[in-house]
Amino acid sequence: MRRLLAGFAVLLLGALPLGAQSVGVVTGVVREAGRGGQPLIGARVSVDNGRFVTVTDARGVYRVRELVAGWHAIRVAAIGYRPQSRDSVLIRAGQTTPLDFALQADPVGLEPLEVIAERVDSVLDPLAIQDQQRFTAEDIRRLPVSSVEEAIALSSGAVGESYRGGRLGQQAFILDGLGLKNQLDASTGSLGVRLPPDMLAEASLITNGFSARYGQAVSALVNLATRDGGERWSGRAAYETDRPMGENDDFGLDRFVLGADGPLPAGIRLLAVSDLSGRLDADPVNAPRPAEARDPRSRGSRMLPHNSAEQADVAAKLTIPLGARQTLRILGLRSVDQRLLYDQAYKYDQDLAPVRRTTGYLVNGHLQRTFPGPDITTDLRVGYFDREFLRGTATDDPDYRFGAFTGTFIGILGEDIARRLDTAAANAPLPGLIAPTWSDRTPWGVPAFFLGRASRGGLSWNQFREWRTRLDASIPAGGNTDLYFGGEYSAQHVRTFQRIQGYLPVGDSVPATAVSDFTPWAGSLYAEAQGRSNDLALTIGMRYDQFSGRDDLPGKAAKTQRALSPRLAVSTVLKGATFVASFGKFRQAPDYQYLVDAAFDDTTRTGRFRAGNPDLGFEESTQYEFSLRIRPTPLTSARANLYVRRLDGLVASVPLSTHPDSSIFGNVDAGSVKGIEFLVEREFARGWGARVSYALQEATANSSDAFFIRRGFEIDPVTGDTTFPAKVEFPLDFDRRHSLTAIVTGTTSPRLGPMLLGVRPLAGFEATAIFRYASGLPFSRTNTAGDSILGLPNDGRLPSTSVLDVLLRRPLRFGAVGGSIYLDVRNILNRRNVIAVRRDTGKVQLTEAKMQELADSAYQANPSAIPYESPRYRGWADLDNNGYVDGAAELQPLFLAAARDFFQPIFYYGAPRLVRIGMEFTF
Amino acid sequence: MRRPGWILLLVVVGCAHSEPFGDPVRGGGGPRAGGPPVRLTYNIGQDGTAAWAEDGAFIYYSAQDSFASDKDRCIVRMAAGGGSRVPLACPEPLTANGLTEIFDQPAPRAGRLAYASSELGVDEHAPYRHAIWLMPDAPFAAPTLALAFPYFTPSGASHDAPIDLQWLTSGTLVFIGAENGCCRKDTMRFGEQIVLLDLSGPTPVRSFVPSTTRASAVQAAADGSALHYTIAGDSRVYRRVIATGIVDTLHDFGPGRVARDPQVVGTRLYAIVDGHDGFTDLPPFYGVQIDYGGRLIRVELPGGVETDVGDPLHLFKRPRLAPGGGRLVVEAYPMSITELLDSTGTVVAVDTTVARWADLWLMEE
Repeated sequence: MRRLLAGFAVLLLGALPLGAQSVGVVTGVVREAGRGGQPLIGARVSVDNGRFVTVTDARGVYRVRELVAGWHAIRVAAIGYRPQSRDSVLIRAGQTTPLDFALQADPVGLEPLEVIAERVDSVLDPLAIQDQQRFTAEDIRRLPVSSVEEAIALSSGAVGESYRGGRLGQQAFILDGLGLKNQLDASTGSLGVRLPPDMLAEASLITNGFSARYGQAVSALVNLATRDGGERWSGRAAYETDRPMGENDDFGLDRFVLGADGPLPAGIRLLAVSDLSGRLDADPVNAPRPAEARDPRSRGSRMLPHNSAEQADVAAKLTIPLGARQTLRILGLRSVDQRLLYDQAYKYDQDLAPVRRTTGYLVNGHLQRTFPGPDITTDLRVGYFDREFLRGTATDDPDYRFGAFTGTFIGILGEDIARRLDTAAANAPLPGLIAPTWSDRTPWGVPAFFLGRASRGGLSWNQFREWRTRLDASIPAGGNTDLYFGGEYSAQHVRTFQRIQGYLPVGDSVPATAVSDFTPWAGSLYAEAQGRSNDLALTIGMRYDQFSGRDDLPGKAAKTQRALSPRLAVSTVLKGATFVASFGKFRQAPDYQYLVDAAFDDTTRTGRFRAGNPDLGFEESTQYEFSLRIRPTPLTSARANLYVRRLDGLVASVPLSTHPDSSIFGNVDAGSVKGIEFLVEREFARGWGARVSYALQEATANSSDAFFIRRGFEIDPVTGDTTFPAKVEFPLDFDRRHSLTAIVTGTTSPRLGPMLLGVRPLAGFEATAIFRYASGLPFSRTNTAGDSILGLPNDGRLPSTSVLDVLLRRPLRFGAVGGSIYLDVRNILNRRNVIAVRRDTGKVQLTEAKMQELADSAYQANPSAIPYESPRYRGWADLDNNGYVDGAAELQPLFLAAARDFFQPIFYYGAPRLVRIGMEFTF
Repeated sequence: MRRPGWILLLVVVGCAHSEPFGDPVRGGGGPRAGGPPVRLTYNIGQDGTAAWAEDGAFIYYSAQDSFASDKDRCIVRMAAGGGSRVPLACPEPLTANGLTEIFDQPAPRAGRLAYASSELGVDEHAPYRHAIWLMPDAPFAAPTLALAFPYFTPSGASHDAPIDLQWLTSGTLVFIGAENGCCRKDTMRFGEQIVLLDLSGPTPVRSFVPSTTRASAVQAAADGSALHYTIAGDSRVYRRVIATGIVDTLHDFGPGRVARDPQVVGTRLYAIVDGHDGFTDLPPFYGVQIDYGGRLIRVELPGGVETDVGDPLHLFKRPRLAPGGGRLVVEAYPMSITELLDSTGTVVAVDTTVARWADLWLMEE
């Protein structure tokens, strides 16, 4: 806490330049009204009651930079002219908003003219070089989505949280201009904090040559800009659920949102939002019900047990004016995500399946200051981020109090040992853990397939903490050129603990507990210039990054990695169109988890141990992109992006010795991504709007993920010679070739339909439909044992998927407060999408012959008779009623039924139709 | 819309969510039809060392899981009338520790469960590394070590294993400390002595009951005031009053007979006598009692009328009377008697084969 206060003290002491991805620019020309109006020199342009002030130059041009994304009021005044105000100008993050004024001559001093909510056009602005797909808070409210992540996933080129074919974790988040990344395990874990959508001003996905200001990403930036509290108190409370849906469509959802914002004394404004979500089945699937009547999934609710989640996201933001030209913004965010993880092996002993908890804290401070005269704007940002991950065996069953809400942390066996990084205790069997055995609680009784008595005994914990400080400055350099420069420093602390089969002592087949505790740091400097001459704009930048990894290894100093990353973009205005060509080199430090030994219990990855590599360097990509933007009509715009990206130095595993379980992480993967995207948008006006995007893409590389062992050489089994096979590229895990997303939204007229009991039931309806089609992702075939890949990796393809989501909203008045009720239906056609297949068959099912073989094998392993008093005894299976279930005639059908039960496809299917009813109140 | 809106909200919140499918415990259900006597267990492996719950509602015993590759034995619990067993404490599987482990001699009392453990190396024939454990009387609760074997008695003998572990009082365990555990087998008894283990203090305290050398079986009286025990190769059942140390003979089965496993409630004595047993001088252990099971005899005290209450097809070990009497659970070893005939059809020999593994039977008095 002391460090936190110290950080903010530093922040308060000074303030210097520049803007960031959370800010935008407004520029334009101020002229005299009328035909051939002359530019007005020295007109005063003020933003937000004088917080930003500038004057027009000799050409009547003004330019205000570093405006926080959101709505602003802009006023222009010139002597002898009638002042003009525009009270609702939307400034979008990272974008230039053109806004011209035409002032009427006013020798008699008329009242100022106020123009409300004037739409501005930024599609054709050549200075907007980025491919940015945006969602404002209002957009998200209109869409059938519940989170910022779901909205971003609607962007072209996004496959979940993979962007343009990249691996998970190749993106970085920018929250109010300050980078945010789970640098420890972003490729396999979540960020740890979630911004409630009600906090948002705007979210956007940037996939092309993003500014040199930003690093830590090689595929995309997810830019989040929060809004400030308003000048008068308002709020929103909402509740949504699927409780009334009945067994077939009730998946245990409850969500509460409560937000309020308004002024506090001394001009301070507050925005606070709480977003609580609970789901009894957090990962519902549209798998068919089994035919076997004794299988409990064949009837009743479709929910999976021990699959619940509760999430709590609480955020608050203070906007504090410090004098006339400084503003301090402090954002605090706390997120908790507690999940019970369904495991088919523990279908009948559900409390033994694992539990996962991720918690995150974030505090960001932002001080902005403008300087008159040289017209410099500065931004100082300080942030503290703390993410903790824990996964293991629950100490107690969850005590649900309302829906899926427990309101408490579920204890996890051994978490104290993990937090202490106590290897001495961890290398012995962990207290409370015993070895699992075959379950005796299945309908079939036989000892096969399903586990019971105890958990698998895994325990994972890690913590990532980071202090991040960033300083940006922007300085005008001539009439049409701006210079941006700045730097960033991050001090980090990484602690990890990983133990498998905790019921056994370490040794023999059990790898040693993997533990690390180190304090890496990262720094960067950048400079960027953006200039415009007539219809040609040029952006050129250079970024310098370095990071230093593990410093906890005896006798080995931390190795510092350094890299320069140039960025260049040229754009020009053609006839009704803007063309942008960009080039950039992008680098990110690898997940720090790859600097650390990894122990895992997953034989499909051909081993259970990877040696960490403290000398890993940057992962990098080089991207070339050409974009064309046109506006055929005032309301429609179209974009086409053609890009090529070369990937290099991505982390993969390479053999360390001849031992099959011995391998090490290395920067050995390389590949390429090529694609073209088309986006057509009809802005929301006259009651409807639409957005359609299509992407065609190919993403290939030498390895599919960091755990995939890339064998750079092989020993010929006949000659014993060492051979170096060609670097074959095969599809990346997120190589989606075709994807199409269409969003249509509309509103009925407030006077539509007949009046019934003083109400027009059909009036004012809001409706949005999202249709998504995606070709299948690749998958690898393996042998039956699952430990060897057949053919090339990822040479199989899943079938295509499609889904239609709909949101209907009807505004209502609840007495003195406003609000609405809404119906949010995902996958309204209840389409059964296959999202995975068995790697051994290439289908969702085992073959009948294989099923029989597995059942026979299980029977041969345990042919013993089951006596009456055994909990395995099933009276209905004791055909001769002799007190035993014995002999092949009685036992083999049970083993076969158990095999069918265990191998039934569940998570191979996507989500079913999900219905939620919501009510919201605004005040 | 004012009221309907709020009412709708309350109605929606008032609906309950559906329930995911649960994980019900399955099994044979209640007692299997038949009896009395009732055959409680049909296990192919060994079931034995039974004990009653204090209120007589449950039977605790040691069951060998015939599915486990290492034939471990678990402490399980069953409703007194029979039904499905519930495992309470099980050793780690063979795959976990490379050992065959036996948990037996359960002793429930006042929410605690004491039991004995022994380990059997994969290549060993006789168990070793014995211990006594305490755990809460709940499935798979964490146990704590109460006593590790071996130890030496004041007389210099080595006690390597416990036999007939049970509670004397709620704070004191009683058992027979068995010597020569190197070669311990359930069918053989060597030199032994009754031991009291006081667990009421921070450290367990052992005390040795005098004049009980070579005790072969022991039962604590229900009120903890006395011990009923037998001596290897001896036909008598003795009673020792704890407070005074006075020893008397409850019953003498007569010369040439070996009494063991006494159970006394009120005026009734049950014991195992005769059967497939013997007492030999087996150097270096001098007197060794061999026992494959015997007849279950009820004796009306003090008159001494003996009645064989077992069936002829089984031999019996370790009868255990329910608290207050009325019911008795006993290990029953199936026995086959084969008459060997010569060419004329004359019986020349009788071969008695006793099964190695017992089932538990419940008898009504």
